[in-house]
Amino acid sequence: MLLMLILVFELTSYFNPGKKIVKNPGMVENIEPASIYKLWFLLAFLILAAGIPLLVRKYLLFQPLGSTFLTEFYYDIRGLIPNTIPLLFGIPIVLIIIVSLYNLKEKYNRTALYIQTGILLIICFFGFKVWANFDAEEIMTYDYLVRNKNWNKVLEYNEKKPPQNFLSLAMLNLALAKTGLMGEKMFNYDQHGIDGLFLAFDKMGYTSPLMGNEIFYHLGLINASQKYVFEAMEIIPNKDKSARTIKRLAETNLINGDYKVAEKYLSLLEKTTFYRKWAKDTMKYLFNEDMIKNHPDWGDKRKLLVKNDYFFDIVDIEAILKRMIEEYPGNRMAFEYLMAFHMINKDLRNFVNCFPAIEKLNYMQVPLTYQEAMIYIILINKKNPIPNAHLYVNENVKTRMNSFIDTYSKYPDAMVRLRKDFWGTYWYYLFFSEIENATLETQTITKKPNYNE
Amino acid sequence: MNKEYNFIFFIVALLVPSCSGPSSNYTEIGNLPDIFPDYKEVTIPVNIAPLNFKLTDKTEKLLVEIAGRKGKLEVKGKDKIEIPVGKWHKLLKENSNDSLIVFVYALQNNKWNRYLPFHIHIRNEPADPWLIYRLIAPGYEAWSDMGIYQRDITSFNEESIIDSRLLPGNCMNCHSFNKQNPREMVFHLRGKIGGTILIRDFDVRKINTKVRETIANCVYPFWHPSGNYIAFSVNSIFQVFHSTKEKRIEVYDSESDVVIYDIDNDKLITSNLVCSKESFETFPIFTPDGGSLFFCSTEARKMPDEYKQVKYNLCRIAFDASNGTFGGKVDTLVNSFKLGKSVSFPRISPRGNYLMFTASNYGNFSIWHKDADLYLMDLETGLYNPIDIVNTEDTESYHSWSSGSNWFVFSSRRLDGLYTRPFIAYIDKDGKAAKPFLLPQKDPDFYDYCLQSFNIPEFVSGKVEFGHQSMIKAIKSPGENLTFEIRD
Repeated sequence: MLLMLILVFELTSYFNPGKKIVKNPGMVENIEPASIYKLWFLLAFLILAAGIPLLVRKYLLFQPLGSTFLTEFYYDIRGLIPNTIPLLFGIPIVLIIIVSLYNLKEKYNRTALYIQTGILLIICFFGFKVWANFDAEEIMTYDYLVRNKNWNKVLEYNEKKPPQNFLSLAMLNLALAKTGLMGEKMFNYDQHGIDGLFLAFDKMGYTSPLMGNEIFYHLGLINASQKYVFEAMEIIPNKDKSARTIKRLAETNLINGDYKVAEKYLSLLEKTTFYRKWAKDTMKYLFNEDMIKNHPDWGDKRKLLVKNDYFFDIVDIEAILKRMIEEYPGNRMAFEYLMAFHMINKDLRNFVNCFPAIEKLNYMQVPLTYQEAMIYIILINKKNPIPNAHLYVNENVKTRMNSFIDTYSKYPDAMVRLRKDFWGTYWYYLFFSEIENATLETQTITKKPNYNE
Repeated sequence: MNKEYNFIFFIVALLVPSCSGPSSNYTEIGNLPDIFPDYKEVTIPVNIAPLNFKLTDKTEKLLVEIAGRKGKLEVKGKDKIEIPVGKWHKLLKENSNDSLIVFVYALQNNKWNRYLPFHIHIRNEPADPWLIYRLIAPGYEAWSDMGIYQRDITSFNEESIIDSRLLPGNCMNCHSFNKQNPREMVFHLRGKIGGTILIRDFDVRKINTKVRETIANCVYPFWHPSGNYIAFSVNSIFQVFHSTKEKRIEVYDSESDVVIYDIDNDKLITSNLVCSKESFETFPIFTPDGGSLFFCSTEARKMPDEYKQVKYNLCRIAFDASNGTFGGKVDTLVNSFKLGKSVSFPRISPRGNYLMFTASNYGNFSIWHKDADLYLMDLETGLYNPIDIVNTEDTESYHSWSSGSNWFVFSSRRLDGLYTRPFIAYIDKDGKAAKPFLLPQKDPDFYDYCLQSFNIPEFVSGKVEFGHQSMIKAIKSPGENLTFEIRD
């Protein structure tokens, strides 16, 4: 494309030998290109420009013909040339042709400048409307806050921008879990199915595994986190490596005690500007079991490492969470994710089956949404599903349940009537929300995700 | 004296001390230098590229003297050295079948120290000059860049044979050569334009190796010495991911058989003895005389439930290349239960006297098994033992013999436990191996930065060459279909 641009310039210069170049400050006037560039020179230039890439292809880089001329120097992602690139190179070509055809009088220069500026602004406005991806902005903000463990800021950001897709929702739910609010307030936020809890691996987009790794990491599924982040690193579209992924790989390997490979990653990060200090500090942890055990994050993860091996697959996440709780009955985050999984799926049978594990979690008070689910189960079964189930529910919740049922049974427009006082309860979700995409389908920014896709 | 001369003198004054070596003004340290790669007391072929290394101890300057009975070299650096290729080769030639002594001097705390010297032993027998390998990240399901590359081991030149730049999104694997001959190569392409690429003397063909009667495309190849057949396994391969910290990935076959591709007749042939529902058969190889087919075999099991119980035996069946028929019985050469391990990647030395194989606790995808080690079997006596000097606590897996049978290259994860690196070792006619050395790179830091594994390192006697246009034409073609026949 650059060649095309130069060629057009040369050709217009050649065929307009007498035309003066438009005057600009600092530019030499009255250059007559045809007197400098002869036709044979143009041809030689053409042969060289076309021949060198072909020679490179033959002797240096065995690659498709298209990539020989349209390399990744035009666009970061190899093999992909978005329409904007030819457009960018096309505009100067068109301008050169226009200028070569019409000799604009100097007195109109200022007017022409205004017109050009106006056209540019109009193009910018429509370009912004068409190409700006605010979904991606929202996702990236959630991701950024989660990556930096700013859990409260995730919740604050939700006030301004509630999640519009599963990627953001999964980050919000992770923030709820990390702040201990998952069981308490999960249904105060729009839940749209278990795809908002876990993100499935997608070979085609690195966003989903990159963000998905955060959930597994904080749950203590270190191998799964490692797999996701390694895959994310490998499918970055421009084939570069990301320092963020390498940092997480260093962490997962430290936690797993794979110090030699952790050292390799840390050595790489030591060569970067923004991760150097972290890498240098972290080097001290290599081969130092005591330091790792006492680290506020890695030490906790060490305690939760999977003891009894199984094959990880996201579609088995329910069984995996159960295993985690069996191995470490005090793993509150795994318990809350498991309960969330059942509640979001409206699977009350499994909710009840898993509920007794709460006994070993030292809650001061049973999380509100669990109370709401339990009282509903008691009510519809007309008996305690587990011994003393009613003792887990406080009186206020029982009263509100009665009020909810009362309105629900009396009014056909109960959904609207109940919204004011009961939106955010599990009952409102249970009765009025539809479960979407309960299949752990993959999500990417490039697919412009939303709940309906 | 004008300003420019002043400046030049200033620069020269700065350079003089830095050019001066320690001469006799140094302190002897009573220990060996900690260098990477570890080239201390290794045995190298006379044609290997310079063994550039770095000192891992902290140092301000480095000076290395490499001396033989004839000639010596002095190389300087900050913390690593890059030895001039020409001078290195001259030194090796002049001292072949002898040893070099290496003195490492390090300027530490403004004081020159000299470490205890070490030796590098030079064998006059050259190793095959080219090494072919696939570079790919040791990942799970996805990969960024990958490709099959050829490296001139006498220098540092590396060229791509085929890579993801040419075929974005496609996987390429299982490259194999007939008797280390670069003119006869086969490898697989996976993906939309998948097929098996066969190169014979610049003729490039694409073959569709899946036939109705087999369970999958052909996978692990091995050429018949006549060049008329290629033995393949056909495998239903699966990959699962461990959850405990000790392991990452498990790759297993749920079914597998052995077939032989009759190249001239475009036919897959097999026998019920190597293609049975009751067994998993894989990793076929021909003996150097072409009269037998070795392969790994185990009783079929329910996978992945019983993945840890899968242990492959090493078996042999006769093969008649004149008519493409199999013998009537299968012999077991290595019994996995007696060995207590599973056998994979059998490879017979070109002279035909030794067989090297990988033994791991179970399964056949040994690269993910830290317990995987190399074993050597004397084909005359049938006795086999681990090759202790090349094995480590970490994975040693794929291996390939050089044409002369006195060098072999193998893949190992000993450096960091994840990224596979090629090591080369000498082995004498009595089957005694020497300390292996890491494939040298121009920059000793190369392996620190490299985020790809070296898969399937294969020695080849020359450079692989083919017409690029014929390759592209073959890749784009729909591929030739094969017929199938069971022969007993």
